Amino acid sequence: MGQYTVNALALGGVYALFTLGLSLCWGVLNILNLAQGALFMAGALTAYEIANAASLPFVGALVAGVVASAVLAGAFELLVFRALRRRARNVHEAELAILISTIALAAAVVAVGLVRTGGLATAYPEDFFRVTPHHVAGVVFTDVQVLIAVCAVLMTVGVVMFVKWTNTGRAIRAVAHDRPTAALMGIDADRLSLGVVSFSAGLAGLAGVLYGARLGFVDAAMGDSLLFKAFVVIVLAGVGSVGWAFVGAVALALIETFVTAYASANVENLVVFGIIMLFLAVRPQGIAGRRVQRV
Amino acid sequence: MSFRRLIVVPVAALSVSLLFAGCAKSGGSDTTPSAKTIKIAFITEKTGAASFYGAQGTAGVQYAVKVINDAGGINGSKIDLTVYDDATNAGQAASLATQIASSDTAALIFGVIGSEAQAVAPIAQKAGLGTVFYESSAPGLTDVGNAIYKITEPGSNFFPQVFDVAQKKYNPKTISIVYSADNPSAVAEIDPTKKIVADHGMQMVDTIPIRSTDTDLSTVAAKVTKANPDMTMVLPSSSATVSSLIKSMRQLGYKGNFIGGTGLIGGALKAAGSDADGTLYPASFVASDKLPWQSGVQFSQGYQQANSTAPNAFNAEAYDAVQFIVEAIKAAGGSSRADVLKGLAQAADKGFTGAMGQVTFKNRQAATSGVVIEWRGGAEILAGTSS
Repeated sequence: MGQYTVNALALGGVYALFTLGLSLCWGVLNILNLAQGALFMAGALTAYEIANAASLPFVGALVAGVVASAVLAGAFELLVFRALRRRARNVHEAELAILISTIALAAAVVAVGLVRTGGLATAYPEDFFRVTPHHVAGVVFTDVQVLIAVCAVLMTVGVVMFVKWTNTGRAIRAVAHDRPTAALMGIDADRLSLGVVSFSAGLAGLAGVLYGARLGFVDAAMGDSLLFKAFVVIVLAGVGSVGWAFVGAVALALIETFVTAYASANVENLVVFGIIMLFLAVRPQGIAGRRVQRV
Repeated sequence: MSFRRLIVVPVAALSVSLLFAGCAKSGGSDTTPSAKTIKIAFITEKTGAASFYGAQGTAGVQYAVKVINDAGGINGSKIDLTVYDDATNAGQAASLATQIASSDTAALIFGVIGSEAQAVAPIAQKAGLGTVFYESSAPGLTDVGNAIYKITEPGSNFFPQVFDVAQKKYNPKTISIVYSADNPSAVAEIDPTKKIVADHGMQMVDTIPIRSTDTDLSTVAAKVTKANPDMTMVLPSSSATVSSLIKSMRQLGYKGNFIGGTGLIGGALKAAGSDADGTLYPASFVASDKLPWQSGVQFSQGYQQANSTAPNAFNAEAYDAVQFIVEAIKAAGGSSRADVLKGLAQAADKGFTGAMGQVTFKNRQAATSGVVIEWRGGAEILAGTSS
């Protein structure tokens, strides 16, 4: 029981870091970034390349991975999202075009990953991050599991505080609420979008490097299944609810872990989707969302 | 949204994907035209999720063609090989097979993914195009018709040998099996394996399903480690799955040994590092001077000289697929599609000696000797044979 809980908390940390960025982008900018899984892998892959080429210590490779994912998404915001937003006749048209363009970004990034890894799981250098198991009261946990959990808590608290209590955070929420009006109020919506998209991708990169260190290798498809999990978390928490996304991530990891441990991975999706269907029926706006009535 | 934009954006997305698939066709295409040539096509996964396997097969096929052409070709005719990339996509594989079927290609080789093989086989059969599949563990593939041959024996046929070697080396009494529940080949191997386990006097502790998309297997690792079987059999779908499981189990203190299926061939355990040392699995071939068949040793030495790297089972199977077609053309005395079909049947009746040793056929499905491989120090070592 204790071992499964430790595993679930570490897994929940990865889900939380991954979902935090996706939720921020989706809830705040209405950008559903389907490349989040590829950006997660891009962070891990960059750390691998840097660790091999420059023999940087783990922290250096971690920073490089985060920066690479952020820059990649930032470039896409500047070159693609912005152009699509300007050409669109209305908000919905822009959102759909951006959504489709993120599929292209994901395909391109994963293709690069496949070329670099040759389609196989590829191990980090031996000294990249030595995973040390610790035994306490019959439970085994590793230092990287602790690091993941700590990072997830710190980033969630940091993002919630930033969005709620800083002027930039208020500006971001204003852009999310009504972009044209926010622009009339003197808010540079383009600059904020660039910042949010890059920061969200940076979080995916951070999650990717930490998860890579946890596994000991990078794999081109490592982000694929996480996108799906993130949607589940967002449905549970409510779109744009950053704080509750953390709770949803940990809850999902606990459910998955205990179903796999005491039943079977075969019924894991059945249970998870059963809960989601129930949740959608009872509270479609998620834990934190407010009920909206069609008039 | 305007109609133009509705079209342009998805097309742009698709173009990026196809760019990577198409590159391999033009870049990876290896044509060696000659005045008198025999056209052979090879469809494989040069890009996409199974690109690792495609690269191995391509190297094996290209080496075989080079050896044959350097030796003067088949009855004076050189082989004109074209390698096509299906981008690990069954639809793309079917589309390429249709394109090849309507050309003057004499024979087709396909490897490795089973679902793609199932898309290719009916098209080749309808066109009367003699096709040799390697790996492609799709059930009933050779039942499609008389144009379809499979050169790789199912890996599970070699499981008794793997258990023999494991018993001698590790003397296990208990075993757990972890398998990809969404991989039909792995699921089909469970029941025969249970019988082999019983035949070897071992006790089955548990059979645990996983999903091939999962990379965090810490919970499954904890479950298996808690049961603490002497040996754990892993039948995964990807190198990421198996590496994650083995590393997690070692971190939890698991001291037992691992065995696996053919999914571990060719470096799938590399990412698991020394944690996977001692893992045993079956294959049709391994590069070793101790192979009991000389043709395998010769292939190994020649391949190493030409490519500066030791061959693996995928290289050998692809090489033998070409050799089988060569035997067919020689037997029929011609290289039209009808000749190739007739020749494949004759060559299959007779059998031939290739990199995998003596290859015989029953209902167009090959039977070979097989080997047991031990993974140690990041390399494949011969641990046992059927003889």
